[in-house]
Amino acid sequence: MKLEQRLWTKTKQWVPQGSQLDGRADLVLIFGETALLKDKKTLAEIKECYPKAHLFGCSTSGEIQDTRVYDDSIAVTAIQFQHTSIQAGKIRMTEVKDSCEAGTKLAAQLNHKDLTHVLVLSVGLGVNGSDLVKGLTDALPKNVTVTGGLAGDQDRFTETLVISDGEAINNMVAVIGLYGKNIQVSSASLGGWDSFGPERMVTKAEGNVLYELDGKSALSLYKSYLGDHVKDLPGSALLFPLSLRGANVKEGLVRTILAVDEKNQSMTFAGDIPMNSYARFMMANFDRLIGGAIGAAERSQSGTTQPSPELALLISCVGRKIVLKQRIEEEVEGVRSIFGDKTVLTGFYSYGEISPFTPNAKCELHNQTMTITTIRESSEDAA
Amino acid sequence: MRHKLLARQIKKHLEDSAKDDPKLMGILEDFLKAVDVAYTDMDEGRNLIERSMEISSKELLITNQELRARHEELQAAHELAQRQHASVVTNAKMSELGKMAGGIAHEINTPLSTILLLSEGLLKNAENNAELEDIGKIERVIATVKRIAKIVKGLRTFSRDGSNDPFNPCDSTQIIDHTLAMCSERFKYAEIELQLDIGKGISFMCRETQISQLLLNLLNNAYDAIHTIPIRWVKLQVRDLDSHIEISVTDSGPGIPAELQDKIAVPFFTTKGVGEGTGLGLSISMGIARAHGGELTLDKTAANTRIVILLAKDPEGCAIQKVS
Repeated sequence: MKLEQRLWTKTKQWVPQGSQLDGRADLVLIFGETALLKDKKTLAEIKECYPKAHLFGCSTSGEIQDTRVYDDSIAVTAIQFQHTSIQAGKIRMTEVKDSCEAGTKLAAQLNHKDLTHVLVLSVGLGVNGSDLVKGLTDALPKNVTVTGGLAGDQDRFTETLVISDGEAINNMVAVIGLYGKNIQVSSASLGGWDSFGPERMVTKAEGNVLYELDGKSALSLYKSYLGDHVKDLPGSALLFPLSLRGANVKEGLVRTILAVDEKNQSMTFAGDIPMNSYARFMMANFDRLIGGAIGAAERSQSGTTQPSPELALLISCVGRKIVLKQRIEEEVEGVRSIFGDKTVLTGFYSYGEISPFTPNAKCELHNQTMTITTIRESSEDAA
Repeated sequence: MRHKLLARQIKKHLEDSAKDDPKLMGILEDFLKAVDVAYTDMDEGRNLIERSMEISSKELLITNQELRARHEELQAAHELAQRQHASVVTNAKMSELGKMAGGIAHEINTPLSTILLLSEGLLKNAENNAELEDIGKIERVIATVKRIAKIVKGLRTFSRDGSNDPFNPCDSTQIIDHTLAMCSERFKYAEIELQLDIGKGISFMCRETQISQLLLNLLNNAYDAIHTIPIRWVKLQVRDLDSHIEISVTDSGPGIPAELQDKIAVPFFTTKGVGEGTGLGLSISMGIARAHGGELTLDKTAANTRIVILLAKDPEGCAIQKVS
């Protein structure tokens, strides 16, 4: 596997200017700011640089390249596989309620023979991430792993884009299937937030829309805690994600807000908020957040005797970026400290992370986590 | 405007040497901006946490209070359930006892009648033969038999449910007499002085069985309250109040504490331990008094514990009247 990274910023344009891989790249991961990706010229430039590659990416709430976190940039990672083939799939979302079906249809677009791993990037708004993941994983063979995330839009929650095959579209979910026995993918996800305050029962919710906790307006409760930060809703609600527990909820499940509806006094979350589950506010603990990122890197390597991965895809929640602010790069540096200097790091800040908590566990939608997908390609003869 | 702390730090560590060096200040500007934002963010973060902790503490306090109240409610409900259970058991026992008492009374009455008949025959013979010593003995046998018959009748009366009996004309002295037959020995054994101020018999319409049960309840309560204290007496008083008859039971106890006075007639309330009292005695007694166009009250002005029962002489005729 050969890798190459380039970064576009307003001040420096493309760095480096040229490409070593040229026409040999198979897949190009593109993570960028929404407005920049809407400029067709930018994507055309990338396509021109990597004419045979499939362009795959999304808008973000911050781009990760190496140990730096950028805003208003486009981070590009071109991959040339030696023994691995890829297949792309995409679907346009029409309604939130169709999320599960969209996942099922995407799985059907991929050839299942020799399929090892599926990378999924979804539009960040207007989707029920839990349902999407369920539809996708249920329709794929059990040995196929799935990781990815929901596109971001800084802390604006206005418009998110997904790129597939050179198009950046605002209601798309795209997948890339990785095929063959030489490709080795592992993943893990960790949070690092602390729950606090009383536990409240979800007394009114539909899918991923929450109305009431303990019979009272959930939005009013958020407002009372946010104080002056109310003016920054819905982004400021990321300061208080919800931890959920209950009969049908996996312990430690965290949900963050995507949108606020003042008229209906409702809040839309990135995944399901099951009725009668118990919710608690969570609060950031800087050291634990950074420790969580390091822990995710360690977990992704657990059970393997292989050297550091060639590529690590870091998908971290926008909520962490909002809280860590200038310290945000510490979590990426923490990941680097585990993988060493040779691993290429790319990724983005998202509205939701898709991964199992540990390698071999069931894939789920997470919020407020650092989710790491490590990729390496063995040079041995797969036959 | 820069963060206060940063402004102080610049003044203390930097300004004197740097203020005259615009190049250095220019280089430092972005760095100082970043530090300024970090300080401000830190303050905002700390304020948010402090605010959240304050709101959360208040919420937890309220939740705690609600949980404590709920716990007390559940505890009270649990105690009530325990008493109800004990009451059900007691009622079942009483029901069985009632049936048994009825059976025993019937079995005893027949031989008693024989003994009485034969004793009266013996008495007549003895009188004719003028054997004074025998006459005395036989008279004692007859008196004892009559006393046994009275107890048996009391048992039969008490053991049956009289709530559907018709109202019949009864004599107060007779009802009290029957009731005392059931408990006077117990009082005597505990050395409790029974003071009777019942005057001449007052005739009134009542369900005799229920009035007897009511009186026995009150007398038993009085017994339970005082049988272990040094001064032990119980006073039973009957007064004629024209349209009503007033019966009061006073005991030598110190009275019912003020905070419990309003609860004494609440069903299942009792100061006795579980299994010792059902908490139904006074509420049942109150029900009986009301069914007789009257009332059962605690005389709060009395120095001792005094329960007063008012009964209409003609409950069906006068309906329920308030009697001051």
